[in-house]
Amino acid sequence: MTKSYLVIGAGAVGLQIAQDLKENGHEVWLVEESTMPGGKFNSQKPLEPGINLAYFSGTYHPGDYLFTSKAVSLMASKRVKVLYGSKISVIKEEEGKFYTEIIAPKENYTKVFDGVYFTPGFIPFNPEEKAEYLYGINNFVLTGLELENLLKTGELKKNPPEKVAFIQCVGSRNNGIGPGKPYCSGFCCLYSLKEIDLLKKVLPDTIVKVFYLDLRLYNKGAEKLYQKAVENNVSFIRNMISAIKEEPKSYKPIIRYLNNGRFKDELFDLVVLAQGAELSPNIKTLLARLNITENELLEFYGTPENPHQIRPGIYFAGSFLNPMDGADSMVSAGAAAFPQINLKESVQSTMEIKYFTNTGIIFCNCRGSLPVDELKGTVADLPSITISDCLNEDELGKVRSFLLDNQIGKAVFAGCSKIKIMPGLEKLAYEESIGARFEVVNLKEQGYSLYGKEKFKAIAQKLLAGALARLKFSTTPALKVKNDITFDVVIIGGGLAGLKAAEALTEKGVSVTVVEKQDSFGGKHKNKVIPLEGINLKEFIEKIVLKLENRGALLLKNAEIVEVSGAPGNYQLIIERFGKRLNINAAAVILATGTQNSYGHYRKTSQIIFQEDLFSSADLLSQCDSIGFLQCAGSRNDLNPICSRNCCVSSLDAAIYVKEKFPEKDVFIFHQDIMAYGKYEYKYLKARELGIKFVVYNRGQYPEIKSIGGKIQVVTNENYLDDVVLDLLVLAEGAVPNKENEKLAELFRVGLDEFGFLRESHQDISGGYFPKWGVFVAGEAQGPKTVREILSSAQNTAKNVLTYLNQLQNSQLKVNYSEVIEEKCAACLTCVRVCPYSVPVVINGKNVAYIDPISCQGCGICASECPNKAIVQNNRPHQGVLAEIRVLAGEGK
Amino acid sequence: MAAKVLIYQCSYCSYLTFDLLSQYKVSLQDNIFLTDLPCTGTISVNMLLEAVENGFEKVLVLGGTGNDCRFLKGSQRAQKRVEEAVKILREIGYDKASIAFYGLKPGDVDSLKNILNTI
Repeated sequence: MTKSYLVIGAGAVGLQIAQDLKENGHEVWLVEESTMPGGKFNSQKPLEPGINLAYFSGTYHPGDYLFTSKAVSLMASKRVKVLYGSKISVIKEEEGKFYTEIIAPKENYTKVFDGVYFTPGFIPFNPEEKAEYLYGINNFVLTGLELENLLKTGELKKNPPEKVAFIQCVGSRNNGIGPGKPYCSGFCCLYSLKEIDLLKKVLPDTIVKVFYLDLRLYNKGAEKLYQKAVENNVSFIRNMISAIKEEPKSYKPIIRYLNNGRFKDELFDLVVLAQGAELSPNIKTLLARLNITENELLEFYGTPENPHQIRPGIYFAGSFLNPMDGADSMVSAGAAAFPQINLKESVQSTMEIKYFTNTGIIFCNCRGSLPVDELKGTVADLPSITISDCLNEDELGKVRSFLLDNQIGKAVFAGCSKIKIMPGLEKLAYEESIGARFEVVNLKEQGYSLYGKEKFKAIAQKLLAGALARLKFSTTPALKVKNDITFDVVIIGGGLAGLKAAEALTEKGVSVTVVEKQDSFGGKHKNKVIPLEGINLKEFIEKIVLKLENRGALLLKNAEIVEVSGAPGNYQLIIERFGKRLNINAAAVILATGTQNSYGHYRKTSQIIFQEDLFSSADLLSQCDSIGFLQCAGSRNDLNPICSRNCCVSSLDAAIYVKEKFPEKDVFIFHQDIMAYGKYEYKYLKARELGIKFVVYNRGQYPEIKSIGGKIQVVTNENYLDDVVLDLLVLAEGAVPNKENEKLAELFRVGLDEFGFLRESHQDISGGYFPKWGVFVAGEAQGPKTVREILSSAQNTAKNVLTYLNQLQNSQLKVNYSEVIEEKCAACLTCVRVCPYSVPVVINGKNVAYIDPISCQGCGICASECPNKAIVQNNRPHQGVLAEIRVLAGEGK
Repeated sequence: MAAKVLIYQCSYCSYLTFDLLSQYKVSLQDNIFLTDLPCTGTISVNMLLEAVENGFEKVLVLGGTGNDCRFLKGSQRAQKRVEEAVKILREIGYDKASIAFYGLKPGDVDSLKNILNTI
């Protein structure tokens, strides 16, 4: 049933949710306070320069790419209304409906919605509030974002600082009096490290010192940055800095910190503050109108069934729900949209695609920054149009009518980068049922900005002429209909992620087969009875399995995938079980292999056990008087370099559990950095309040463990603490990639990352899918996760699968694909052999190769390998490339 | 006049790195021309030699690194084609032009700068 939804905030998360809801036929209104979409990812926003780089997790990547095409394709749709520079003045909840009044620049609206999504993200904490850091008073104290900007513009090189200090947790983890939030902002450790990396690249001789409480580098990509920083002689000092002083003559900042038990004053040339995240006051007002207080939001962690819904109809997602980085917020977006995504009924397509024959040029002057007018009419005598902004609904309307009025079937877009604009343009044409082929000439990033003002015109003319030459050989995209599919999804791995994804999919009517290699479901978590993140996992898993059985899902234990054939949308899998082979067809496959435990260099004894042993028998705790937890026993060491994310939260939960039940018992946690990121910080605070003792040991220097007289002695090497004597020591095992990943990657033709986890299409922005649709990843197979994160990830993947199934059964316009010219084909099987995705097949009886356009990814490897040139790559025919080379090589135009 | 250079980018990796270049205050001379392919694996020996024939004295193919290619093995294929084309140039004894393949990670501006400096 079609419903209407309000999405508040057009950042990366808001755009993703709006897109998912729209794809499923819902009406969406997207309301954004600022004048542009993209939120923190937008590098063009004047107010927050350079912020785009900081919030991504593993890579340096311009954020604009993530949202521009999404925003354009949303605005091209008639079911979506995007309002920039707008505010919601009234919001009222009445009988499950939301009555709103919206003030937009041109018009005011009143509208009733069925649901509201809050995705406003956060605002950076203003360090001026913490006057002790002298921000805004002393010119040598900067925020991380300001430093990033100085680095990008090269300002810092002119006057290079010799010594730079980074102060972490400014405005976060502040549980005392004064401004600042009690939670951890999650991403600041990572972005400070990224800035240090940039700084060291530009000025390698700078001395850098980082003052931190815990270095929370929980992302799989972050560890490398840390290693690099250590190699670059960055010193990390665990110290809370209470104030910055000024040197009276030079006004340079002085930091006082504890060094070997003594205070030390050190002069720095620059101090960089890592700001935390805060809620925007406007959002607080909106929440108050819906009777949701700020504390309620801060304490909200959702139920395992519905992690994003605070009340029916009100959903939270992204870093608004919990401070998180770009990668995690995309997963959160998908999981939040999931309840609204349903399996569509297959409709026979009645859509008629208009194929036009004219060629045209669309210029975009990118808000007046590109001198495209001097190009007009100088290259070719073709119909053309100039727009000024691709993120403006009216300007996009101009493109639409340009295509229709001039009957344009092929067009060159001369403006910004192809990655930003291409998907949006294709969507725009598709919405009007035009089968159009676009080529993009990147006049902005790879034209004006690279060649400069003087050379721009000559270069741009050549590039434009080249694109037109190449366009002559391209064909128009084709409408492909594929209706007869089965809704069978095979999930490989019956752990928490696999089961949760199966539950989510069966809820929507998809039939599911779960293939588990072991003889029971639940994987690592199957026996855990001590509540982890508020969930008794043993019961939780048993309940899901029962539910799945009732819904008729096929649950296969002791089974293994041995062979895969067919293409996405129609896989044939052979499953081996007790020596017998079983054939199963699947429209989509979810890889949820999870992780395996790594025990480091430790071995289990009667008194030294691992977390898995503790969680599966609560009795152990009652029998001993003192319990210790040793963190990172199986992670962040030579065997497993990355953080396993789950173990600190597990230890905190177990420690709180025992201390609440038996307050008289002594509980110790030995840790390097307590990874209680985001709202998990509240667990840490609670643990401290309960009197659990935290003992820090330096990275890599594991405390010595001795067994003396029936007790375990942990040697601490601290002045303030004697050696700790325990009855029970619980070691935190780590998570390493499943060994099966290698085999599965080979079978399904997906990639592995450097650690051995399954590699998504984009580490930061993809949110759980591979470049090739049809195979998906859920849970820890992609990287270590906590239990809540696994559940979110499984829901997000279920959403991706539903979207994919809906796409499969309905007609779609296929733009990038290769085609076989049957007369020329000799069925030599070269294409079958070289295709990275095994798409080409030789049709029996006909003896020619066939490339399924839906599955084809459009790389063109087959086209260039084909000995008889019997394959044409429609999106970039080889003759087109050759024609372009001739134009580029020629003198003049 | 400076020697003409043609650079084939991969749409999924080096294209993005070129997009980033200007943020790092890099500029290009007008003897360098950029064009992109959906995947560098689609490049043919023909495309490389035709470029040389048309007067480009340097032809560079910038793909991804071995293990993070969008199309899994595209970069490896491109590398092989380049080797083939280089071999042909050597066989006919033509030494006025050079063809080369470089693999870099998307967003790796530093490596790209180094490559551009060698031109």
